[in-house]
Amino acid sequence: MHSGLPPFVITIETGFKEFRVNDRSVQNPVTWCGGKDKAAYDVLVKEHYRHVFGVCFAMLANVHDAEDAAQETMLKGFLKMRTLDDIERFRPWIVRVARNLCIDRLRRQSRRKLPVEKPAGLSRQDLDAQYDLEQAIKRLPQELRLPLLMFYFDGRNAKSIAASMNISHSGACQRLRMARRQLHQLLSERAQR
Amino acid sequence: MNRECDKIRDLIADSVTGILSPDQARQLDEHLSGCTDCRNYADALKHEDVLLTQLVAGLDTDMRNRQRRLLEALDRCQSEQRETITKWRIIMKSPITKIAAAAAIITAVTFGVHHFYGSVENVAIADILQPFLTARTATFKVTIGGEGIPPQEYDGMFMEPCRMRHTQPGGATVIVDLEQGKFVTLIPQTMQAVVLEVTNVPEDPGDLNFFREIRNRILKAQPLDDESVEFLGEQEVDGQLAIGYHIRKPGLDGTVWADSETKMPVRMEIREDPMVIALSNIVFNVDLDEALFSLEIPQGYSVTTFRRDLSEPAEQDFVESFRVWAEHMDGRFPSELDRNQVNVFMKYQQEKMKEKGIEPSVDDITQLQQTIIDMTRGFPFVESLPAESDWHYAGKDVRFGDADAPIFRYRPKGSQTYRVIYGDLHVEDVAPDELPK
Repeated sequence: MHSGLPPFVITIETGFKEFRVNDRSVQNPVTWCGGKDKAAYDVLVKEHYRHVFGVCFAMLANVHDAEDAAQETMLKGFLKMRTLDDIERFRPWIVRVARNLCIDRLRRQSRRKLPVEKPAGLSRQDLDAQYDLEQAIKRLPQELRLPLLMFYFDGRNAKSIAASMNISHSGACQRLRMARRQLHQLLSERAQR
Repeated sequence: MNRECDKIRDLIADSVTGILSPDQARQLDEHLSGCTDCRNYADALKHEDVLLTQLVAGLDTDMRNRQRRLLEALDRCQSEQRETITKWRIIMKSPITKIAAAAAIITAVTFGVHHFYGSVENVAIADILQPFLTARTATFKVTIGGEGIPPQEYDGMFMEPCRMRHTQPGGATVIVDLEQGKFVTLIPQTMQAVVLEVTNVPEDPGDLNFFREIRNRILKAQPLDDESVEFLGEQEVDGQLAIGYHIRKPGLDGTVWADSETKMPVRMEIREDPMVIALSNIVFNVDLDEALFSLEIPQGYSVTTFRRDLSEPAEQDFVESFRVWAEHMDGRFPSELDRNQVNVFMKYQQEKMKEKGIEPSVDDITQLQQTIIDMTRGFPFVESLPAESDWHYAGKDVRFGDADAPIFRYRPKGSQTYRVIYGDLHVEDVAPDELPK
């Protein structure tokens, strides 16, 4: 006979159960987790974590969820580094991972209402304004919230938003314009209540 | 607000972003000098700009701590257990995984058997094994485990000549009738049926039927001699007092436990490193309704059909499997040739689906399943090669299309030259002293 596989018919009932049949593949990245590679990845974390966090915050509009998602993203990146051919492509690659994870989260999110951290050193009036701002941001559509917040995370750079979102520069500018106008409208509506 | 003011407000927004041209800036200033509403609007947007800047600055105050927490998590990643759990959490959380979970693939997996001869017959164990050889029907529980393998179990049924049914607890039922050349999987939860139509079923198809395979292995291990059978004594097994024997023969490394009094088998364990497959709750010659093995699809089920050629794979099938692999694994070849690679392949495809961020359609999943079936067609070729074929695999770091890099070599039986498969999947005959390093 012709093979060395086990003597039964495996029903791979699930897309993931096959991992359970023999999970050795999952352990492979452990070898990559060696000290040298870990040190190399720490450098990437320091360079890109803030940006990844920004993407997650922009998508999830919640600090705690964003931190969870950013951490999950970077861990996943660590485990999957070997699939990345060109380290120069790390930024767009990890951002794609982050966005996909956030999309997953948004789909299953049970809408926990966690307060956004209050920046220190602000007056009561400023804190109220911040709170209103955060609530309005949450109501912005995803495609506008992402470029708007990334604009502030990325040093007010529309070009980097365009690259990060894989859209044209004029497209990024247009979204920023619409985001500002919609945000203002949402804040005005809030003030009138 | 008139139309001009509306246009101006776009300019106000762009001015806050800092992307106005000098002409636009001039136009804006002119308008603002005469329009209070737009001036107020501009002030409001500037204030919001300040608030947004403060919001991000506030988030930045804790960024260092967040980064530290991440680095700590990465440190923990060096622990294998943590790494696996993390990865599993990622996998388990994905809605796409859940979608994929609704689909079923049947993969027929087979193994090799060998002929060996002994000299001394062991009467006691022969009696114990006899029911496996003569039973018309049997029911049993199959438990699969082993180091690093999460346990699985299902209830199995066998009926002569070559019918089998097994059901995972709360899950799918698989019915196999090799005379009909069909494997049918029924998933009641999702009302799905997956049919695998097999062609070129081997004349001795025991290894496609779990019970028949055990029968074949026992037959081919005959006669059992004292050297290959070790008496394990008497102990309680599955709640019964039982005597046990360990059989060690190439092709059969197993333990059988039988009721101390009746000598009927109560448990059989077969080791296929690293996997251990255990049969328990064994009942022979129980009356089973033929309808249990019906291949008819219940009404209301959606049906997906796959096809698989079960003939012994040849070199060209092997090459084709490499092609399917490379085309679906971004131009890479397997890191090594072992059974686990099927898992690696499937896992990678799922990750790709997940990274697309959209749920795969039924057609996508069906296509993937057929791809997996096609991909697994040729790889058993390597397991049919004897040691003297001197086969060697070197494809790990070779890119698909590299005509100079060899990925596999072997010497066909009776041949003076080697067959060498290269990264572009062309195959050459190469003399031993000219083999690539």
